Amino acid sequence: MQFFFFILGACISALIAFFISRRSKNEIQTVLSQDTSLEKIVTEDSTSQLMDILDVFAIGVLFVDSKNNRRSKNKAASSMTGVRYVDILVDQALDEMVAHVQQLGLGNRVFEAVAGTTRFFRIHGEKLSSQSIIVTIEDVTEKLRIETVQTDFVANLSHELKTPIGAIAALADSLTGETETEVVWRLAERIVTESHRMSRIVDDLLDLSRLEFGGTEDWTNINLGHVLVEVVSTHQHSAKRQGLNLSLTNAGDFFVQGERSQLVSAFSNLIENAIKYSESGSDVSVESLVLGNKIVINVIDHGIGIAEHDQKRIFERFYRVDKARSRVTGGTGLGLSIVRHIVLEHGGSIEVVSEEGMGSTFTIRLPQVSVKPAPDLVDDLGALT
Amino acid sequence: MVEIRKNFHNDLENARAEVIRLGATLTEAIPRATAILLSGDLEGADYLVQADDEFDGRASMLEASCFEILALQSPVAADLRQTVSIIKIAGELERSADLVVNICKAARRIYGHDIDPILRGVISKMSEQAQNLFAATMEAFEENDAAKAAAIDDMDSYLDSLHRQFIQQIFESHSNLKIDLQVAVQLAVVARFYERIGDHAVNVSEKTRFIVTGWVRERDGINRYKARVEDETGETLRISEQN
Repeated sequence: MQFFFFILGACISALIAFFISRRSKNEIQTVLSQDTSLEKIVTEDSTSQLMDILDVFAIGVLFVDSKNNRRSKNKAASSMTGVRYVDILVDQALDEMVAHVQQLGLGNRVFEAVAGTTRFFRIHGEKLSSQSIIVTIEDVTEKLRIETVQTDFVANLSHELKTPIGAIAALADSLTGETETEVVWRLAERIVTESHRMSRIVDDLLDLSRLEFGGTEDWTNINLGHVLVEVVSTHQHSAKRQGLNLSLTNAGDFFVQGERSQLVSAFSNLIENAIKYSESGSDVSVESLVLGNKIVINVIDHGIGIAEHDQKRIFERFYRVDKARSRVTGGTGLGLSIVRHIVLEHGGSIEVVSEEGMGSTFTIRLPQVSVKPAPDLVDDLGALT
Repeated sequence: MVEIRKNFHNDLENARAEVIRLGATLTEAIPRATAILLSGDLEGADYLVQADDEFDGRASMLEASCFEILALQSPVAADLRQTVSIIKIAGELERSADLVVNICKAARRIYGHDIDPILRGVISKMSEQAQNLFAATMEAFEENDAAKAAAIDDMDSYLDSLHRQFIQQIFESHSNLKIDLQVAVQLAVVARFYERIGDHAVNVSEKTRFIVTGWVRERDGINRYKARVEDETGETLRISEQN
């Protein structure tokens, strides 16, 4: 009998224990499920918050949450270029990177797309320890451009200097064994030409570095109208020789702060180029006008023009559009670079609009000085007239 | 509303998205091919020629996915117009990509020859216009914008006039001895490629109009033909009336 009660008691207690355990399990489960949903809310919230913060940056970020496979992008990643069809391609590249990272855990590539100009994007993908994936995209066009400019500069500089040095060495070598006067004379003359060429390059380089570190102490108010008249009249002769019509319009009295010789050299350079790249019978015109507080000077030619991809690079030192032609025309490859430096130094800007076969227009904008010229300068001008 | 045919609409959405991606790839390839042509970039030409295989593959997979939708989902009304039009658009895109490849191949053939700067200028302009056309066409498709799609035809007439201008310029350059006959012929063909790309863009935009409004370009022609037959024979043709 006692045994029977013992068994009954055990059964009841087991039943009670079972129910209690079930309940607690249920409770635990609900608590747990509450917890996970809470966690989910927290992660979703923090992801969107994080994306809000990342919207500030220019680097695009794509985040793929491993838990719900949800993709979030910051502003930069959703509109990297602002050109619709390129953004679609960028999107596609990001998707490819996600697929790649899902397999291999890590990925890097440079993606190239033409949006007006060729743009380069560096895409980097990584799997985090939580199995989520993060992909970043950055526009590296400017970075790569600066890298090319630097390496090209060193390569071009050594090339430009090496060519005349090599020529001088070879000419001098043949000179040592030469006895015939006429040949000696011819060789010597070519040595002189080559050394002039080299000294011109070095002079230009010095000019450039002087401009880069130049000060503004000896700046005065300069009548830009007079500068233009002077430059145009000095180039009339070479324009006539090429059968070109060089004209100047609206050369009124505009004053800028600056150094006269530098401004003369800048405009000379532009006009020389315009003459050099025009065909006989066409017009080269220099126009000046005042827009607000800026003086705008256009140098317009109807020559061969400049291809679009070259337009951005012509202001670089030693950049040549047509390598063969510039050697023949005898440029140092520094002209436009000097022009740009002078204009920037004077607080202005320069840009080029060009179409191949139609000609080019170089536009310089310089800040106008509103004050009247200094009295001594007026006296000077008065004495001149 | 409960979405009943979720898979079907997903498939259709995916097909649309692929059209947009293919369109973007094509739009970007046009200026690329022009740069290759004008700079004589043989390596770039090879790259684009090879990339066309992938484009062809994607276009035919897109078509296949539409056939599957037709066979398995029996779409009706706007969905049917959409599915059928995507099949046709895939063909237009594929053909246009081939024309881009043809430009690259022409770049190989005229490699080493100088092109008259005036001709280079017009080529750049034609390329820009062809690219604008396709960009606008794909935007109209993406936004289901029938009005924008209808404007593409007018944009194309500018490209056509550039084409005429280019051909005239080729004759002029050739008579001024600025261009070889061989190069002149190649360039005339290249100009034709750009002009054809523009025509394909117009076709795609017509499909967009059809998707949105049910408009059919050939309607006028069909109605004229019906009227003529009725006049001549007194019979009524059994061609369904277009809206």
